[in-house]
Amino acid sequence: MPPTRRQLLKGLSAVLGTAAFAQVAGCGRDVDVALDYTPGADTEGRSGQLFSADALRLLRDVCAQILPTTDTPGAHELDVHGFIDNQLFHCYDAEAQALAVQLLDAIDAGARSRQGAPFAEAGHDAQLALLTDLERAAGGFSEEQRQHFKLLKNLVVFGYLTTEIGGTQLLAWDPFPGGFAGSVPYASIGRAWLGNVT
Amino acid sequence: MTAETVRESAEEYDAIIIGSGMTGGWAAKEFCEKGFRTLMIERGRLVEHREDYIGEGKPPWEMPHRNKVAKEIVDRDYPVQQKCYALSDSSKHFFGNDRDLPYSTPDDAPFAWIRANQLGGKSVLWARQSYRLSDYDFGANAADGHGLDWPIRYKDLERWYDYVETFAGISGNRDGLEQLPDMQCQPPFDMSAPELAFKQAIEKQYSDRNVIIGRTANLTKPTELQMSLGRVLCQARDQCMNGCSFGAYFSTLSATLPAAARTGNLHIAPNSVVHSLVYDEQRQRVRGVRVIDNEDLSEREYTGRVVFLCASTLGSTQILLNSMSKAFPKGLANRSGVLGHFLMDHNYNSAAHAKVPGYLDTYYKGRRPTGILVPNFHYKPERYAKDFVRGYQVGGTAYRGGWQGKGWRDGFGESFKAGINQAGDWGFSTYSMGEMLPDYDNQVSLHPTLKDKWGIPQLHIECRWSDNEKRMMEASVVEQKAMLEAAGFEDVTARLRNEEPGLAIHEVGSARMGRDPKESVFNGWNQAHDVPNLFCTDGSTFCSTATQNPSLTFMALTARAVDYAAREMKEKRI
Repeated sequence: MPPTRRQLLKGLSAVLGTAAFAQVAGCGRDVDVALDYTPGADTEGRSGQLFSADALRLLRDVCAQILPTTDTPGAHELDVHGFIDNQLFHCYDAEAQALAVQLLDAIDAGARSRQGAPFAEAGHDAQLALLTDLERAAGGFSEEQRQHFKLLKNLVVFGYLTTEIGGTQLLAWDPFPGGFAGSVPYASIGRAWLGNVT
Repeated sequence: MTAETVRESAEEYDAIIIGSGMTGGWAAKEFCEKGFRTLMIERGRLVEHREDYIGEGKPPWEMPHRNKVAKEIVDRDYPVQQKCYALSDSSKHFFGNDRDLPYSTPDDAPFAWIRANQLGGKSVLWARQSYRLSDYDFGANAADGHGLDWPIRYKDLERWYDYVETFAGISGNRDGLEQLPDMQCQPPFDMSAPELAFKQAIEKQYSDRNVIIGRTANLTKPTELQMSLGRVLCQARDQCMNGCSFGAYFSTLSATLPAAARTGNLHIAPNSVVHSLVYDEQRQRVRGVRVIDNEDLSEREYTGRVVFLCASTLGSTQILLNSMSKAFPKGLANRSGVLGHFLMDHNYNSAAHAKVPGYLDTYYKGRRPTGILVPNFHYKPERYAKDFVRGYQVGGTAYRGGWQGKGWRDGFGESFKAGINQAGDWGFSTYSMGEMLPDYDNQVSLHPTLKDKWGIPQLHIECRWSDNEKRMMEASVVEQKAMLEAAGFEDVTARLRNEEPGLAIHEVGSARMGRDPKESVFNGWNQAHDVPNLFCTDGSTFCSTATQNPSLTFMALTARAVDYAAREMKEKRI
């Protein structure tokens, strides 16, 4: 069963366990700051609310590796990295936030030990090789890191497909179905429904 | 809306309705349409149908956190309310703010009190499942000896069910089941192909079970009357709890309030938190209602000839408990001493899931606002299971896996991206909804010292699942798994959950009705035994939960009680 977002969040909490982390900067900020994020703006070059500018740049490359530009825009072009920074900052607890920061640090450290250069400068193929190792818990990455990466990857997919382009060009979006038909040929839709996101 | 709002009012109303939710809306409509000058008191703000549905129809990209509520807001305002499935960023403004609504429970017995304190109340948020109780339900307490016999039977409510269904608009089938009487229904929603297969398999393999489409208060064939109120066909968006500008699901705001308002007989007093009812010792009648202003905390009073308590089960009970007088030191109309006792809810603590093989060339179109239902198959004592009394119904739905969770797949780049927008396998989820027995020890009382910001004593709620309910859920886990397997589904998993009472939001019973004033607060007309011009028509008067969602019965009881009260008023008996 594909996990719902609630289960995903619960799963994240379970993965995170009880490890204690120091307060991540900004956790106590006012709620109104939640509206700072402008969907669609490219946050490249800026530091995020949770991630440093370098970490955000790295996450941008990760987004591009997972969902690159094809006949539709890549995740990095829809600022999915900026969405993740914002979403983690406002909707996840401090432990989840710290783990995400640590995961990006570990990716960068992996690149430095392999190439002697930051992940951002590793080049497409080396980046892909490293992320593939991470997803398989190989090449020095642990099973725990693999799981953290899967959660991040789900956030990439979620962040991408809940943009207007993702939700309407890749998925099928029907704001006013006008009624319910229990059985229609899949071919007549041809894609998954966006559905209600809760 | 054409109803006039009032703050101070010297008028003596014919009828005062406390609450604007499911029952308050009905009481107002019925009184107004009979020509009575009516005041509806609402503790929260006004909500304008359509205009104030600020989260309606918004796709995720228009929401700041893609419809997830920011953690800061959840932690600060909704630590209890967030346990409700219906709370999202696009519906949260219809939930009460927990900071303003404190209550206490024993440390070992949490209770989730879900609140919706604004015009329309929980009728805006409800799940819309609508079923009649049967005579097996009304007779259950007498038949097996648990709880007090209901003073009414199905025949007393039948024509009122007809009446409220016709007005509200319920979609469903005439299924011909003795434990779930047929209704006045608009056309049913479709079942999907795996659901039809499930129905066929269950009805073939179990002689005692049926699978029906859920009956829901969504318009599938609106009537002239419904359209005259601005209500049209359900668009199958399944976002009802955000509010619906089509008026396609029944709520106070879409249906009963416009009907009441157009009579010209309705006044609404918003932001009026009822503190207590004012009892006239000489006339032995309720004279009026004392309220605290929601915003500036000033006090005022409204007077009327009859008072209808429609403030929700716990809300109405709290008001009665806090209405103390020389004649009623333990709370108004509480000579029996049962006020506050026998609180019940439904138990949803078992669920199951299966993978459905096949059907990959089939999909659905639209978002159906209901599911399928296996009605209670333990509905009479000769059908009880060995180790528990009463029964449960099983709800469920088949769905096709979509894009959420595609991140669990391995891979990167173009090939990974190519797969994320395709529908996946079919799945089938079920859950139970079990009856809870009435128990004197499941009770609410006024806290001896703690008060809320309006100066009203807080409720202390003690409510626990009994061993009967726990055994029922254990059995339900086994049965749900067996049914999914019987349908040929795969990878079946079933589990117990550990949710506290309250989360069904079907709380009932804490001011029960009965024939004998010594053991009940209200009579079979929802009229207080001890105070003839006081009525209560929300869930607090229930004697048992049955297994069905209660709102339709709230509506029928309310319409019937108003009809009775109006006749009594005309005869000058009250």
